[in-house]
Amino acid sequence: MRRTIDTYALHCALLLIICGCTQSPSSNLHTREMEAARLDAGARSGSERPLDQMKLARVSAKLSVPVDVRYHVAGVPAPGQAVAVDLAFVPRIRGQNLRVEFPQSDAVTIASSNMSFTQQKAAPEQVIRRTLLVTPQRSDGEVRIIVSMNVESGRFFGVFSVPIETSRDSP
Amino acid sequence: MNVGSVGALRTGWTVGVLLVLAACGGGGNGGTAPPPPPPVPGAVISATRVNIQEGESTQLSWSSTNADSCVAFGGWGGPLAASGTRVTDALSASTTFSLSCSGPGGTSPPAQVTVTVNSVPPSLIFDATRRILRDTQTSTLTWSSVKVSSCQASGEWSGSLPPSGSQTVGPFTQAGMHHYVLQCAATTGPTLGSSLLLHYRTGTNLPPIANAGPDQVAGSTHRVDLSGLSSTDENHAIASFSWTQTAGRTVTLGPGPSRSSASFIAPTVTTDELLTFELTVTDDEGLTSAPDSVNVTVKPIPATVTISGEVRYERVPLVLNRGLSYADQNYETISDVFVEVLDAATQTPIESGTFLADFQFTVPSQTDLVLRATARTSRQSPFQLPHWDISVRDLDASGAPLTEVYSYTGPPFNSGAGGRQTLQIPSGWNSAGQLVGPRAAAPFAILDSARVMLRGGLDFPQPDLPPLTIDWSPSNRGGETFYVADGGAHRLVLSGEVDVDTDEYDPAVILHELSHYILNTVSRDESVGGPHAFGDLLDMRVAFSEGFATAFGAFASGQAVYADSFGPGQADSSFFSLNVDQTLNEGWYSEFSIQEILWDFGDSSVWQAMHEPMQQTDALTSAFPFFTALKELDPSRASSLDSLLAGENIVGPTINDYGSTETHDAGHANVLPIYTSIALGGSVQVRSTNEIGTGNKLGVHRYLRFSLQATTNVRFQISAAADKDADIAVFRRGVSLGPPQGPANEDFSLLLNPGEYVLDVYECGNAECNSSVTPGPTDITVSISAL
Repeated sequence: MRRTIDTYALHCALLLIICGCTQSPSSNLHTREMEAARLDAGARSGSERPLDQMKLARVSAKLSVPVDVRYHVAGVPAPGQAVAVDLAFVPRIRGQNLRVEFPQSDAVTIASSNMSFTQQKAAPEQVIRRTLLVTPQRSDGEVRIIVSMNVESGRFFGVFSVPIETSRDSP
Repeated sequence: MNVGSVGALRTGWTVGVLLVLAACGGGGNGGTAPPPPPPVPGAVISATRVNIQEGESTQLSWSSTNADSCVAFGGWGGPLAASGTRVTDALSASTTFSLSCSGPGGTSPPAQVTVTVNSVPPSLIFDATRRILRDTQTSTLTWSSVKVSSCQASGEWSGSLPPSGSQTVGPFTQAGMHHYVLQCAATTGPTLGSSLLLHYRTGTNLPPIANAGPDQVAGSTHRVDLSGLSSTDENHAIASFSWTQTAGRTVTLGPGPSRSSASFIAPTVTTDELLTFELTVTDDEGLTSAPDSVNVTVKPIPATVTISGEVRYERVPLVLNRGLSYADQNYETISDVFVEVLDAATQTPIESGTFLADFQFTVPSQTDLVLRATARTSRQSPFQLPHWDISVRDLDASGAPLTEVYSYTGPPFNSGAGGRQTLQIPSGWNSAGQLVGPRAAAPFAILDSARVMLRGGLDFPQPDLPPLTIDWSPSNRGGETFYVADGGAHRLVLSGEVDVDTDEYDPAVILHELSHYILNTVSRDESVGGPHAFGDLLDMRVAFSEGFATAFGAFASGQAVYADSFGPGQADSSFFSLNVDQTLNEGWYSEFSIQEILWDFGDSSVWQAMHEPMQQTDALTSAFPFFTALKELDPSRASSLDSLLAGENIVGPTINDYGSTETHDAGHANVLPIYTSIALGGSVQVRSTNEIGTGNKLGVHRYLRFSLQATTNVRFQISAAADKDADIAVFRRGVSLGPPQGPANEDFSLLLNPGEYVLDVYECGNAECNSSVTPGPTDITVSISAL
């Protein structure tokens, strides 16, 4: 199902054009990391997409962490071209030591200033947002996310998947 | 010899003068050159040992050039010859010995050598010329010491004694022990002490009697142990044993397992050969026995021999909060797996079997063989129940099976004359957590965890379990661990993704999934599965299935802590303890409530409850029929169970299979009643909602019940708003009877026998079975009528 491209997506699409300039691989990566860091900062400072406009990431089958992961792919993914992925981590209950990790994958390349982060205190009212710059390497690309959190006297984790499919999932 | 020296020989000045002369063209016949000045003397000195102990001396050696004499100074003094040697006095501290030598050219620069003296700590030596005395014999006690000021005798003797000396004691008059104690005051540090025990014996010392043991028969290449343990000394002790070979092919005698024994490797022979050995023993007074001999008959290697041994796999332990600890890997024995011995050259199986303890095979002797273990454990007839057949299978990245079952083949070995062999299966990880080889041990670690449940972990009353395939592969996605029963085929999938989630060394996870299989095969499980997280309000079937599986797995292992390694390097772990009450969202819809009640109640009646009561209940599987059954099976503990249920917000005293008296609704409408009654010819409306969540969450599926008194062709009709997709399933004791396959699932009929029936009613957008429908609260009208 095709959706209307809003101004937010347009902004991200412009960023993609900037990131797509011809550069050497190393400088391209460097630029992507800087861009990812800038996007991270931008996401934290404001202009946040409402949660109800973001999809729920698929979570793994086994006992998981009480955290919802929502995402929005801001652009049309294409193999070898970076696309911004907005992420929102929404604890369903209060917890501690909420840790998010992005494991390496052959399916996508993630340009980020930090491939993991930890928030000591987590609560439903404290939505954690991050934006990743993701380059799908295959048509069935996906971003994998490990989210873990201490709750009551236990610790739980879940493996979440955000599809970055180049054949569909347009904004 | 350690020689140190410091010296100085001045040659530079002379060379410089010669160079100046050459530059000026000197040396011709044009005039008379002045005589060269006499050369400057030089001196060197060395010591034979420059590092000595306190009180020792060393020898100094010196020599000179262009000198007539030398003068000593520093640690020594006086005139010296131009060269020579001298032994120093005993030195008590590090000393530098210097000298300079003189001649016509003047005096040499000083030469010196430093001798470093190492301090000696106070010490005491106390000994006796004889420790065992007889008749008129005496013994001389001698003692010497270093840095001791005085000594004191006590015990059998007394009084002050000098730092060193000797004293004769004895002869004694009565047989017995005499204890001599010596304590000496050191010039620095604590008092030194030593003691001696003298034995005074009377009568005649009888010689000891050697016993080389019974004659033996040994196979070629086998180790033979000779034991003199049966040797005796009637009145005192044997001090030493001496073995010698007196006949037969010469072998090398080595140490045995004890001081009194010896060993050797039997030579390879083609016919029987006899080797003879002699043993003599000596008592503590030096009296030696007569020799005793033992014959060892060495047999040729037979055509077939026996090899036996263990299959061991390398386990990576899971440490709470630290994940998998690769530094602490160790090999553990696994039994019950299929083992084969093969000809190494042809790979032809020679023998095979499944063994509860060591494997044991009869194989050709002196043949190159290999051992192969297969990741399969099976116990079938004619062995008595329980029976099972569980294997671990590899998959490719798409999930297609790569091999029938995992196996591991060890390195070749020669059967020789038989003996022990160990098949060791490595983990593939080094101690730093780096993958250095195939993860060969993983399938066996999985089976070993499963065996805990199959053998002895639970008091199983004879289940005859259907085959179970465990799919594990390094390409299995992290987090995707689950059990599935598909058309009678039971399959368990375990994560294997490095740096995300691996489950092969997570016993609690394996036992949890295995418990789903047990529940499904020996009891009933109508869970719809799906993702579930801590604190979730779940469909009652899912909550029961997951809670039961965790508790049942814990019963099997005896471990209250559930832990699951994950993350980069598998260095993190999730965990919780069944001994700790998790208080979030307690109720019949919480898997944590179910597992905590079960764990606290214990497993005494769990197995019985799983059987007939749960198999025969007309309700769907949930906490209600299970705890109702537990109460009925163990009435003496009914009140105890009521308390546990009340602690988890479940109504206990009036509990029944349908939960009809339950009052806890998790704070949500559209949850109670759990079952809504509907009569033939009647119509009811229920609401399926996504208020709590979609898929397997509470409120999505609503349940109806009805009974039939006679065989009836029943028409089922459901309806909801036009933009919704209402669905229904008809159950009879957990078996889904309809609707028939096809699109007409909102108006259909079934010919039903008399009995109790349950309807599962849900909206497909909420239940995540129709992605084109937007989830939301949906009123569904259900009508049933007889045709």
